[in-house]
Amino acid sequence: MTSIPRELPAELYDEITSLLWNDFPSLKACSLANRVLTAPSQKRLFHSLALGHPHLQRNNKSRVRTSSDFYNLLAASPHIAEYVKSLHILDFCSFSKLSSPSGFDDLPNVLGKESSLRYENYRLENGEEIPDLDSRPVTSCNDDSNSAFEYWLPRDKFLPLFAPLLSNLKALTLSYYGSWSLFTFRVLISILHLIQMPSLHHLRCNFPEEIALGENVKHLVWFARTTSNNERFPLKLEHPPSKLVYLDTLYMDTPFPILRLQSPTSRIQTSRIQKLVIIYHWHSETQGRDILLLLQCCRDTLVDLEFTLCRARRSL
Amino acid sequence: MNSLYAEPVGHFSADNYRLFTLSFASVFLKETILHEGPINLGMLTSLRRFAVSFGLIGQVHNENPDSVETPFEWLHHIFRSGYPTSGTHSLEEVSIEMWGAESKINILQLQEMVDMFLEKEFSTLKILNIFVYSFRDGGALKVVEMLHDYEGLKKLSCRVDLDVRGKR
Repeated sequence: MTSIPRELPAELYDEITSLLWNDFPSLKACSLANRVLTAPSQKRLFHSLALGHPHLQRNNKSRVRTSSDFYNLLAASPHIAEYVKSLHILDFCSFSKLSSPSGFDDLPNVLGKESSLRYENYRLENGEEIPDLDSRPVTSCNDDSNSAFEYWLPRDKFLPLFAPLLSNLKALTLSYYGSWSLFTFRVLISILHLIQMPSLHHLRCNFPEEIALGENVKHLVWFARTTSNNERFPLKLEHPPSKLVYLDTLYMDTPFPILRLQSPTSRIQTSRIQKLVIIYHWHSETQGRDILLLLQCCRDTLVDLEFTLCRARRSL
Repeated sequence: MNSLYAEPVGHFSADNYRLFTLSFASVFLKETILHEGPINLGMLTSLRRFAVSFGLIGQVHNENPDSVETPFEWLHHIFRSGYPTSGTHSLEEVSIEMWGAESKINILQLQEMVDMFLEKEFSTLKILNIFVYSFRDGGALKVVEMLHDYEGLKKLSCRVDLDVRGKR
């Protein structure tokens, strides 16, 4: 009679948990059942992380966490940060008022990695040093403190603490439709840090063209900005990266001048795009010409072309 | 795009986002769409797949389908932009997705589209998907049934994998 081996090969535990990839109660149970199952279960539980407003957590089925919850989790188990491959930051303006944030210094930085955000590498647009990391670029006209609704992200104090720990991040979705000038410099730099990570392959946001992307971003989903065209991005890198960013996939939901997309700072190169998804917006006056320019750039590599047509009055 | 990073998170699944996009777009569809233009598929030497989705919504008080401005003319122009040489046309898969009230869908325009794909310049075409979504129960199915009865589609089905479907 053959005896049953006490331990299965690690690959089998991986295989077991991979079959439970979308069964979170089972993954949680597995992570507690046996030490050998803890790591593979946690890898799948935290593979994709969504951070949002506290009111999104009211629904028990929602998997959205607040940044403070995740920070507290990392304070106890910092290794979990390495398991996060896909981060969704969801900040749709909310009618639920948040409690006033306390000072940043009130929060113990138990994770101890914030210094790697390298705040000193950033300067104001005019070249001056940032006066106060917890201040905003513009305080008068964009202050939302008297508004009936507000965003949680611009003044979040937890993201800057754990952003440097997300060292294996491959996909970032930033769903924020407010003004970038509402951000404190500290939060803004932590987001720029995520966008510029070398591990990042997939980026979905409405970032302004003045910022530098991670050199390995291949898939870009770019949404229209709702902010004023006159709004200038308040920060610049002292030593911006120089390596070009060659995209494989571009999804554009905006009538945006292609030449601005390919700014010297973003370093985006469209000459190797294989898949292009474009939403034509009804109010576009110049998009047709820009799309033509874009098609000419990727004429030798484009395999997949998709249009979603909305109201428009002009020709391509 | 790598599906690994398009996982559903809470209620923001990819499908939900698409529905959101479509419904958002439909708000602006009282007047459509694009006309002729200089896009030339012939210059896209590696192009294998082309997909387009659009809505068909006319003026609120106008029920005459002939008066609805549609993108079919624009599509014809785009598809034929690679002519005259078949060598410039390497399309293998075409997907056309439309939504709206079935009264706005002119079956003749769809039939003309099918006839175009029968032309020799589309000899590389292997897959054709036509999806019709209607706002009313049975509306899309009615359109799809009419299309299935069309002789041109039967001819096309001899050499192309067809997927012609309607929903609601």
